[in-house]
Amino acid sequence: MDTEKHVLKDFYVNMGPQHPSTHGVLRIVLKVDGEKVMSSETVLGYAHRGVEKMAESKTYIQMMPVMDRFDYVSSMLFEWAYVGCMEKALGITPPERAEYIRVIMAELNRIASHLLWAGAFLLDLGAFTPFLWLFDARERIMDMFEEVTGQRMTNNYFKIGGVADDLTPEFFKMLDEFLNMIRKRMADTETLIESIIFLERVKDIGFISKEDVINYSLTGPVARGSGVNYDLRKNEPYSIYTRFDFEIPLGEKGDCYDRYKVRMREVIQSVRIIEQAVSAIPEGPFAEKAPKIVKLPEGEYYFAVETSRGLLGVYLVSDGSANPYRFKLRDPAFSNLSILDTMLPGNKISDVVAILGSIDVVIPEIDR
Amino acid sequence: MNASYFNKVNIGIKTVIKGLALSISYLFKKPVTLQYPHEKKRIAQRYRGSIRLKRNEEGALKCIACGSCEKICPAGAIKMVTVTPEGSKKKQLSEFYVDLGLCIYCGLCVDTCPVDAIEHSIVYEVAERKKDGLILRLDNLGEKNV
Repeated sequence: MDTEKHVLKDFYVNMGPQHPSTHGVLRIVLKVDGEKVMSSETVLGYAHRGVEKMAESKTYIQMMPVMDRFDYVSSMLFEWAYVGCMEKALGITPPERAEYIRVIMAELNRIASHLLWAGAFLLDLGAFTPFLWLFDARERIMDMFEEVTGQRMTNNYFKIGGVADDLTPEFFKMLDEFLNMIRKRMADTETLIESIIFLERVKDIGFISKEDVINYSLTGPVARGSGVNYDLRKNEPYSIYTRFDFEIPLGEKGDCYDRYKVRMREVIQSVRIIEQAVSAIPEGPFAEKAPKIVKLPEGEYYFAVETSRGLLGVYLVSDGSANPYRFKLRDPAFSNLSILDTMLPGNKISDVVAILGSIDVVIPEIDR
Repeated sequence: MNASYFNKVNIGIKTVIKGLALSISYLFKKPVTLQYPHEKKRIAQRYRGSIRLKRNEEGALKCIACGSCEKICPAGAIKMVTVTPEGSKKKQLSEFYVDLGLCIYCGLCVDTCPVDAIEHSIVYEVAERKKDGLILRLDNLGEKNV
């Protein structure tokens, strides 16, 4: 028999758009040789809604709920970037208490996002128990959000000049309970999963070098996992982040394990920020008076925050009318995903799940 | 089959036993799941459920038919029909539609109302058999949102 004929050349595997571990409608076309990935191509656009164009026909206020719907797991951080940009344009400074409330909510949201990521990442790698443990912790954050903002996700809580409503005594009770359990829960999760089964799957795969981080403009835990010390909260502090004492966790090698570790340690740092903010929160009004019909003065405005995935920049061009002339997002997940195609070749198919998971992408944020 | 292989197996067994002991300790904790729909969750006071119109002490609608909520709704879920009775300059509300299939529960209509005539109820179970049932009108705005 002529064996030459039966060798499969250029064998393609479509991972997605419906695949449980791409977490959304992401399609990766893998060219494989046996179990080895030779090359890959990421196909985007399945959840494209044309939001940037849509913004031009909506008023500034009407865009607020839309900001929640990009990265739905850390929605308040996205609200902050947009609201911050408008406040910069209008020259409004939120009152002291509002700043503290924003920091508390943003850090809670960061924790919620990392917990969801860690749960789903470990679930992809076959560990089911941590998924339930971490979602139990996340559920408590969602309850707190419901108590304060009125909604579990898509909160629409940040307003121009402050926040929509004050924190309640019930919230502080729930927060206290949460802060008491989260450190132990994170430690428990790490003891449970840091067995050789998990480590063998994530260590020494998916390397990102420091040069690549800069070349691909990666931010967030993906960049910090490779040892690049860049966090907007420290490098270009916005709001009141200079008042808090916290560290930026860094990885060394830049493999999947480092990125996992960075996020797990970031949760603890966010808990530290919340503890400091709760003990220092002043009394006072929770919002400055803001105009009911928002019209930004003519010009270009840019404001950036550090979301749970990296640097998010909102760029607004105003022509003085009630709608933005141009609305542009520089969002972290899109840039972070761009390196995937250079990371995958040479790895096995089973590692693709771990590498993609370690980047932490949210599809509506990429296709917008 | 070298020594490092057995070493790894050894570490593997140890860590699995450690993890098992930890997860067994969780077995004796109180369950966190709720048996919905038999058990229901506590709903926060500020919960943004389906929309309803407020009435004053005499039972009349507080709404002044200004149309702010209709204008600001990003999803276009609110439709308002107004009439101006003869001999009066004031507009009156004759029909009010909220399409819950379009509503994104963002709360902008409640924020923008100048006379505080519209509010969120804490109703979150709004599933219907027919699409028409999702449209709230003046006559069923009250009924559905008890």
